[in-house]
Amino acid sequence: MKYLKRINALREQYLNTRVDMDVYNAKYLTEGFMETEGQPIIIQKATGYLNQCRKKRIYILDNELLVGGAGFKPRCGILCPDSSCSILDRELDTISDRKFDPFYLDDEGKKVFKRDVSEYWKNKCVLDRWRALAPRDMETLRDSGMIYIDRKAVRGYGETTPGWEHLLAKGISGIRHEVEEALSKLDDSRVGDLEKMFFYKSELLVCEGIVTLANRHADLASEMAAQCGDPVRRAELEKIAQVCRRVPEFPATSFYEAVQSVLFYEYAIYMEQNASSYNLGRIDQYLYPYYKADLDKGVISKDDAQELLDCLWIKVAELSLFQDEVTAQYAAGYCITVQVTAGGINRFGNDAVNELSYQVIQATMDVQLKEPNLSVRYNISKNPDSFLKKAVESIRMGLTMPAVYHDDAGIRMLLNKGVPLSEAWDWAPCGCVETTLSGRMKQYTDMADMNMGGLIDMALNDGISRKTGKRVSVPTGDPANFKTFEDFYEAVKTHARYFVDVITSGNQLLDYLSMNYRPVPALSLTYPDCVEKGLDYSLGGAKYNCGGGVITVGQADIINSLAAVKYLVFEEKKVSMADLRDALAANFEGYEEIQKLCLEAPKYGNDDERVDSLVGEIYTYVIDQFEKYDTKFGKMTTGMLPVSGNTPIGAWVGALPSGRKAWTPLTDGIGATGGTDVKGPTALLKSVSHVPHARYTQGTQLNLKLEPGILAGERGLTHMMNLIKSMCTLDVYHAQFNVVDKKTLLEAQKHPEANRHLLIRVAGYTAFFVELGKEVQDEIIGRTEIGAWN
Amino acid sequence: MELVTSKSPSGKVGMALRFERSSIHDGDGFRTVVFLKGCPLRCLWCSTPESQSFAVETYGDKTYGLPIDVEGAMAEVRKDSVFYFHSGGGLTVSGGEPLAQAEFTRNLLKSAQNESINTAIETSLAAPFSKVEMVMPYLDIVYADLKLMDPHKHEKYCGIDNRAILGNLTKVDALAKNVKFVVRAPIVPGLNDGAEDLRSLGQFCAKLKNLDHVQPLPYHRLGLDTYRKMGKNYPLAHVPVPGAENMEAYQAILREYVKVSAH
Repeated sequence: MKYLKRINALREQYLNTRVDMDVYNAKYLTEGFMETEGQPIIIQKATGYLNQCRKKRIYILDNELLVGGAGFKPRCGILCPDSSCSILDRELDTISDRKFDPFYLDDEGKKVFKRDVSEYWKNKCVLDRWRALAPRDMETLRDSGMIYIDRKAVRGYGETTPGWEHLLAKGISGIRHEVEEALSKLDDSRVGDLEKMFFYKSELLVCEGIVTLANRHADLASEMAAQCGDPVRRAELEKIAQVCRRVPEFPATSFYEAVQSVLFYEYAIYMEQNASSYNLGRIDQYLYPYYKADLDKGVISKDDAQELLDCLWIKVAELSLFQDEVTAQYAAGYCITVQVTAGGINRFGNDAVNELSYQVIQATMDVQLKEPNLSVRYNISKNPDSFLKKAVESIRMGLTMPAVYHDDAGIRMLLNKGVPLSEAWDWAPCGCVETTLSGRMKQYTDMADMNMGGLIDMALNDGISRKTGKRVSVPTGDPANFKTFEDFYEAVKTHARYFVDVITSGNQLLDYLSMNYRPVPALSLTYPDCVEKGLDYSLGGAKYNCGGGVITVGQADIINSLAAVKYLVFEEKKVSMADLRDALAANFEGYEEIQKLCLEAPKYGNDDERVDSLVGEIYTYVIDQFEKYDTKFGKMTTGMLPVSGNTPIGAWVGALPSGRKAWTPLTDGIGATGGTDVKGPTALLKSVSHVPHARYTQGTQLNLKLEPGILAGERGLTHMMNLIKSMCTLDVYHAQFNVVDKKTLLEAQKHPEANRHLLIRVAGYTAFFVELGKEVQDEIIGRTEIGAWN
Repeated sequence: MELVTSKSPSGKVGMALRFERSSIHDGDGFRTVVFLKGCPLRCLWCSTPESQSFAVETYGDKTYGLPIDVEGAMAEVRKDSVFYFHSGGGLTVSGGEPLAQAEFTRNLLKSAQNESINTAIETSLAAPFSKVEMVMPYLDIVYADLKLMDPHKHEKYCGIDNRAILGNLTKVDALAKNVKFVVRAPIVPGLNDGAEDLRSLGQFCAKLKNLDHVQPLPYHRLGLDTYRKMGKNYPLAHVPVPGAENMEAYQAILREYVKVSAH
């Protein structure tokens, strides 16, 4: 393919770009705040934002067809000082080479930060206010690793999908017109109108900012074109200038304009708030009219469209999420998790797959970067097999994308968030595995992590941290006094209630801070209800508002631990509660026999009723507790989406009845603990189907490891499709597929210690790969070549 | 020829070796393979030496053998019914030699068929024809092994000669009108991969009217670890695994006579 030459060049350029820290956005924002001191915060924010748009350094790189950027160079992290200026105060000297997600900051940058930014935000940024106001019991739980709750204070809140269709149809100018109209009808002697005026005035400022920034790119492209000796590139630059002059200010009139408009706005909201998951949403739907019209008119070919989509993918990947070093551990990899999806059903309830749906998947196959986070809404009743097949072709390239959503479960999550069915059909996956509705839904999906392994720890140690020896949760007594499984279970539930209560108090504080100190006028632009009501997104202007989302971490750990206690202590009576207590306190040292029994107890992931029967009950209990709490934006919500939080949170958890040793990682997502699911993918999916998925409205994440054999050849595609269809029939919400390929196996041979949980099927049985003889290992590796697909 | 038959003539209880779920190699779609324990053959290349004896065996911390009744086996088989539905998969009875426990095998297949679960058998056909006849009505797919055409070599490498097996193949063919009938030919370099061996196998199979295809199976050494665990010597440890290009060549010869497929 000819277009791939450009894409490969852009990809190389991307991969060779160092990740830098941008402090200039922060400087310009601060200037705007200083200039408007004493005015409403939303006016200050919008003025600062306009200043950013006027002054930020802009660039157009070789080969680019789509242009723009959030920072002063590609792949920058940007500091939003109103959110979390003090991170950089603390990490100024370490940020360039810290272990997780370093951002290079040169001396000039450091100087700018110290001179023009740092001082102004002391005790003023949201993070500082959060620290000043943090409830004590919340800090205690947090500082003992039982919850993680600073995430929304160290960066902005994203996890939303802007109104893309609205933006493309109206353009910024159309929205600005509505704002002006609404503003003209206000009367500042009428109660409530004053606040609306502040909002609308700030909208006008950000409109001006966004359009100014686009026009600056148009000017730059024109200048570059004038100086360009290569006629082909000159024509491209002229086209760029023309497109940037038109969008996002005016409605898009072509596919090219639509794609550039989306990109400009994506950067625009990211500049306003360094936040993850400003999702691209259902791109195969809202871009389709432009695509179809251009194809019909003969303006573009399918390859031209593909080239633009691929360019968009690379430009989105240029966003690098900036967070403090602790938070980075919980979600390492600069991940902005901008989710983009294809498929599903339309507003008539019919198949929504079109030609563009396939090209959306192809874009990820072409660029092979980890962002944007591609998914498919697979509607088993309506979507064609050819679409699923395209998804599977991408998955088996080993990209782990697209993630596959069982569409109907996603729809039910939206219903459970209070959205009527007519709109729930239009849901879009968000961030990791959460759910949103384009241009209509406000939420923070991951305001805290709750340590599920920690609940067991607390119940078996009377609410005292094993790590610090300090009391962190309510007392539930000596476990030796638990006479029945129910006694133990009640203690676990008691801690769950306490954790939920503490987390919710943190959420109330977060809501307060966000409502008072974190307006988002640029984001509010594409939420029609915000503009209609004259109310910022942060204050609840969007059509639907959801209570804070909490991530439960360590699903398999709590399930296996409950099962082990039930089975070993109370049913089979193989261990006494007192002995188990002592063994856990000693981290099984000197209690190897007990650890062995614990490890051999029934394990989640094997389609074993003895353990799976507990899943629905405990997780229904947890969500019931959260839903008892109301917030400014509705009932609390939950999800199961540990990004990489299972590792740092595990470092606070002592030994567990599941047989897990102290301080080791908890299990990720909703899968089985590594090496304990020995019955293959069908058994795992059966276990996972016991999770009450649709009640966890911020999604449930399953990482499924697949052996290469299952995917080999044409039959492999069919197997995989059938596996996904079965997953939907079992009502499992989401799966992301990791192919255990030759590379993985070679790596395991070289570093057996790090790969001791890798399971592989040998002559009719499943074994730990690293425990096999070298010849057998080699033979299995050799087999990954037969019927290879690459 | 002395064949060991089921210890449970009524077929209520069988001696299973293990269950393997989501197998994609033993029939259409996702299969649950019930491996039965005990086999009259002693093929040199056997990759599951733990399946040969009819007795429960223990080696170190590992025990092989699990007496199970039909309902117990069905409870396990049923667990993947959703996956069968979507993939066209089902139950495959394998071994060991399932026909050595023909009554149990029949009862299990019959129960599966009652629940509309697709059924397959993987057999060496080293059994009296009466046992073959017993299971045939309950099968959708038959995988029959044909290891060697030469009776002397067969006796030398598999422990018994192959006259009964060849006869059974012909008789199965006559009954296989509505059955997917596949001959599986394990190809072991140096033992049965000569052009002559392959040609005579091809010629024999060409006469089977209802045969769907021949599936050459490349020799492998994945059983090595089990031999080690059992303290048994694996006589073919030195035999190299045929490469993809060797398999191509074998297939080309067979293709002169019959339809060949890798699945």
